[in-house]
Amino acid sequence: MKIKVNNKEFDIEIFGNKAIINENLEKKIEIKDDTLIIDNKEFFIDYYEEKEEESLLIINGMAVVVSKKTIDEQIIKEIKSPMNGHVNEILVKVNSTIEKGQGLVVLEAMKMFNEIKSPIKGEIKNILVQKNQAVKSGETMIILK
Amino acid sequence: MQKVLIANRGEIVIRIANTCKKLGFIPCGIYSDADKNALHIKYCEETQDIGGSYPNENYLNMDRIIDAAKKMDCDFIHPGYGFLAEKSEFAKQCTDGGFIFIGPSFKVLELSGNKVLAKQVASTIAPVAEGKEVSRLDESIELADKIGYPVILKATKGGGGRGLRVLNTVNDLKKSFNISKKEATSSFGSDKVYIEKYIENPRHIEVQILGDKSSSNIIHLGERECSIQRRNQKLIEETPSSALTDETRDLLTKMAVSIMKEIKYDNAGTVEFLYKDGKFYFMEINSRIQVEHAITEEVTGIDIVEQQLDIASGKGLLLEQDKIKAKGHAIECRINAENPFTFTPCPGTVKQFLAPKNNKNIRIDSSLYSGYAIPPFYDSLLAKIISNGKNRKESIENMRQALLSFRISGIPSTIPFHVSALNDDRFLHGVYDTSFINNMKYYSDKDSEIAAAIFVHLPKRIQYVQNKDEINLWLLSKYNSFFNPEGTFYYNNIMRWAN
Repeated sequence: MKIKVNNKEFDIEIFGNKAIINENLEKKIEIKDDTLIIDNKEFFIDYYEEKEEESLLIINGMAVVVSKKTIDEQIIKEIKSPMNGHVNEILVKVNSTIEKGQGLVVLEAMKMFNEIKSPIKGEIKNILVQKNQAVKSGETMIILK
Repeated sequence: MQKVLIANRGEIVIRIANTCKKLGFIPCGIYSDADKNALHIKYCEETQDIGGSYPNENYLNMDRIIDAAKKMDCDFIHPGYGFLAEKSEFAKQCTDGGFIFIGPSFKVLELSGNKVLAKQVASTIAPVAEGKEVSRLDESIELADKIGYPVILKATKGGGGRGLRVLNTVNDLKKSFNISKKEATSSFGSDKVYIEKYIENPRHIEVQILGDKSSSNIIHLGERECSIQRRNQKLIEETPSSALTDETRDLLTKMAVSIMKEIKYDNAGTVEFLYKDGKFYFMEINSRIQVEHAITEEVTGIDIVEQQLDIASGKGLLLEQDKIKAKGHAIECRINAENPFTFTPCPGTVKQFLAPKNNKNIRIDSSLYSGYAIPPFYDSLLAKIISNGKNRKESIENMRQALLSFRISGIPSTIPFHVSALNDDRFLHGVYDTSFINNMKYYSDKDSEIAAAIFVHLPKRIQYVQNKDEINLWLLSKYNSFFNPEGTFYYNNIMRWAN
């Protein structure tokens, strides 16, 4: 999808731990504490603030403003698993309305339970996973309306 | 061994304590309740808890400070900058209490702290912007008409860029006059205000002075260019100024020395000028050590705090003007806990703090450490990066490297502003004035932009979000009195946090 970063346009698609930039550049991504590693290059996330319209990051000492609209419209409509694990519980039903921050799915990974919360207010359009099913990192679990 | 109470907080205490130790003085310190975890405590050999959180309960509270100095049996009191540094009453109380105040005498402070009087004295030596003190609105309107808009309305006893207003029309003046008087009273303890011609987008250049009353020796250590400011407060300073030629520098430094001779200045101080269309206008005298003193130290090799101690202790000012030679170029970037775009102060806990090591080209004056929770009651200055080089180009390159390897996480800081300024053509060519930040282009490289775009799409990013509600909850949990202040306090000395 196309998004604006410091008023420049980028086309970015993310699949699990891979990102495709401008349709041809494939990059491996990894995140460790405050460091985002892209193809072995380190980016320090010093600060991250989300506002209605945009997000502000301080990354490697530089301020970067990412327009948020496209994120809300596209990516956030798909709730993806942030990790490899098992679906322990599904907390919502199809067609139910949800609030921002409401828990959607509980994932179990490395004996830890992680509640995946909704980043937006909306409605559940489809649930693609079942209880006790294994999910991979980046796999779409829920689609929002 | 003699003891010096450093009546301040943060980086300047550490800075002064280091010179005290070098010269064989024992540095003593004070701290407030909110500063119990402050780094400056560790650099002092003795400290006293003077309580409270708001500045008027501690760092502005003369009685408590004098009391602490007595308890620790100090000989000297160094006020640092800000807080009580330029309050003549404090200098008097120190002297009356039997301490040596490291700074000008009570009488000099009374004169330099009164903008109208200082301007009167300076006007016999240097050009000044036309204007005078006013007490009534009708009188102000008449004066503003005479000198022509835009005019500036300032508190007579004000300072530090606070409490001043630029007025473009008579309606602006009518609206602001009473508010300014009220603000002047609450912030500076006097409702006196004055009006003068507003010089639009000048350069702001100041001269570092050292004076010794006992020998009538007054010298200068060259100029500092301080035009890059937000809300009339400095962000970047450099020396020498690219705006000056040898002739104009000579004229400027001579005027500064003459003004300080005229008022018989004692100890370290600065004369500030505005520079526009080849003409200097005297602005004010800052009768204290300044935040940006370090760039002068880097190019002259002179430890200004050492000179302050020598002058105050009676050893005297032994430097001679002819022997002072500035070499190379130095820049200072002030790292504040502020949003890099809006400059709104933002509180929080510093997750990780990593600074480049001090070397011959980089000096870091800072009071930060990983895990430090920045209290919301004081100034937002966290650290100063001072770079130097053989020439301006080298100094800029050294600063750029230092900024990019400087890491503060968990809170926003002005680092991105500095990175952008150091990539701005106006700065690179040395052609800029006080309007610099109005036309900033923020700098970022493509890799970081891609990294940011990827990051905001990662589900895991949620755990990094910092929003205002969380910040406010954090503030409330740590400082529950913050949103319900009791009693009076000097609002201008408190960080203006988000909201």
